[in-house]
Amino acid sequence: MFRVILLILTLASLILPILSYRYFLQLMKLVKIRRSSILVTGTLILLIGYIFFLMPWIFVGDEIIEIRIFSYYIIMFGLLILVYGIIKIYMDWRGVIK
Amino acid sequence: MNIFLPIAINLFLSIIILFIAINIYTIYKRRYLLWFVFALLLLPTLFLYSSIEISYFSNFSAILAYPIIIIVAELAVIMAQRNLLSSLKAEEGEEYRLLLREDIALIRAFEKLANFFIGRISMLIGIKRVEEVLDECIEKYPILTGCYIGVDEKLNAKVMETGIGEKLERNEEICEAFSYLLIKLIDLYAALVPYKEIVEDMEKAVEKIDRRIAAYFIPFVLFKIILEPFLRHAKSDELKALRLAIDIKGIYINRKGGIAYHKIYEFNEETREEKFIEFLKRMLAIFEEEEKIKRELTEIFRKLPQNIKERIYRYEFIKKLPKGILEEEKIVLMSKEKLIEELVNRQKKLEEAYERLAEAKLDKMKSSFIDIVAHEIKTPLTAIKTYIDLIRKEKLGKINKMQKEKLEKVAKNIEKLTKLIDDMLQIPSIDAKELELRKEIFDAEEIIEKIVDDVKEMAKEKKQKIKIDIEEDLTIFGDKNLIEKAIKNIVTNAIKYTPERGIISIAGINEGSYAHISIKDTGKGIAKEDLERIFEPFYSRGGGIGLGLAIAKNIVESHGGRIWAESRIGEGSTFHIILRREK
Repeated sequence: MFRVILLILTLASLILPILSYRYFLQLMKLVKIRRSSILVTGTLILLIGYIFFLMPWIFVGDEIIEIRIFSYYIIMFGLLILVYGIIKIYMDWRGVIK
Repeated sequence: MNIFLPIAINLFLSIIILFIAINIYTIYKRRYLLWFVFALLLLPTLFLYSSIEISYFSNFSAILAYPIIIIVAELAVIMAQRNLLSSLKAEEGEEYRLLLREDIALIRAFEKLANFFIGRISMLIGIKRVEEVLDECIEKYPILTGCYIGVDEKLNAKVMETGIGEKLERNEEICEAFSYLLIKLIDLYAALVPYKEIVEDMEKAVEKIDRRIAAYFIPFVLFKIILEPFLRHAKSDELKALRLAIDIKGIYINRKGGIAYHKIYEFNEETREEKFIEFLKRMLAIFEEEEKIKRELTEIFRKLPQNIKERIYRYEFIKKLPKGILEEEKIVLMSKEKLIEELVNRQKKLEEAYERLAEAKLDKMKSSFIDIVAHEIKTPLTAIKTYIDLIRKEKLGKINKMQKEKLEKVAKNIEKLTKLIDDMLQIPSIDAKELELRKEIFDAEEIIEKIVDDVKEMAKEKKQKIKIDIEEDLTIFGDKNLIEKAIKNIVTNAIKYTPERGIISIAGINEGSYAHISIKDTGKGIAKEDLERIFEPFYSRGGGIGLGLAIAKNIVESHGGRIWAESRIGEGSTFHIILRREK
């Protein structure tokens, strides 16, 4: 039962980014964000890490500690890219605002 | 493997992201940013929960919290995006203009400018004529397709924004199309209102243009605001003459004095400015009252809005303007530039002086270092030499033949080392007082023959010939031993760098109160860059340690003489020494 709920929730959490990406594309037509591809890459890697994190629970029904640690490292990589991208965008915007 | 380490790092990274987002929110304070902040707040929450979940209740139901938190975060992001999108579309708030893409900002600025004229024209003659003008423009520039005059009697160009791709390459095309439309509208408006009023209106409209895209409006300002008022009021014969004289590509004048410049966007910014200057020069040459026009032009330039002035008032452009226009500004800019130039020159001189000082210091340090080291080595070397001599002469007991042979080699090398140290000691300085005491007048030929006698074995090995041609009674005044050493160093050097069967010629001539000794060889020659450095200590072209010529220079100069070298690659070298002949 828990596995079915988890699967449904996971699918929902994977559909929502697709919707978000559509909005993002629309925004890109209006807003000039030079480092937008960095944000997309970072978010994509976060999602991959998230999928790895949930995979053992969905398919095996229990935790596999190695996969969990691995997923944390993938997420870390994604977060590092996001930090870089967000800092760069912040610097650009700060220049414009001032 | 510690699971908490990556969690802690992830927590730290997500807090950084959250911190930046909060920082942006404190500047902007927009609703969409608040959604983003909320979404990003869930990230550290997720990692905090993760560490609690691992420690206390690692089970299936606890895992369900992860997708739930993620879904909430994703929904928050979507809300933020929707919010930003609707704000941008509705153009809420001035700050959104900063976020707009350059091409969209350009379309909106042109749209506003066109609406400025459309509003005035429609009040006077209705909107129909404007619609006809727009149709004509669409026909000529398909990029305007879809633009229309709405029920509010305003131009609507939103369709162009949706048609634009992500690349910002069409800006020039947009400018060209809209310029054509603007020129047509101004022509229409000018038929109804005096041009002076139009210029004032245009200045106000241009003032509102975003600084970021102001550069695209420079041709509009230069031709329509600065030049056209003169053309609109010109005498018919002057205008006719100017129309005939203007054969500048991309610029046309109509019969009423209106300037069409839209094709000018095909050129770069610099060329556009050059074309304006060219136009201006031709206009000044044809129009009467040149001085009056120049004064009025200066006034117009000064009255321009700040956003445009910032782009136009650059040194290069102002400098190119004909004499009499914006003279004061030119002087200010010139003096500024001269001041900068002066500062740069002074800084350069200061740097050079500092370099020279550093070099001089280094030279001094090098000399004292050599002096100390050489003296410190020489003392123990003398003791070694004495003991080796005692052993060799069997004063300290018998030695066998082999030991004797080896000791002879040691003694030979010690001799070499002593000579080298003696040479090194010659470089730093020669005591002037001591030298005065040792100075005498001696026969030049005598020491040169002695030198040749010393080096003949060396030359013989390389099958070289040494020729001597010394004038009779040529004398030199100086320390005989030192001068001999200096000349010998040069001759040895010549032998060393001259190939087999080469010729070394030593000549000595009488030059009034000076003796001129030259040593010429048929060697490979010295490159120009080496020629300047061969007299520096330890500068070697291969072979020795590079002290011979430095010593020679030191000796000659301490005698008040001069030494130099002449050479060409492949043609051999000649070393010249000038020394006093008498006291």
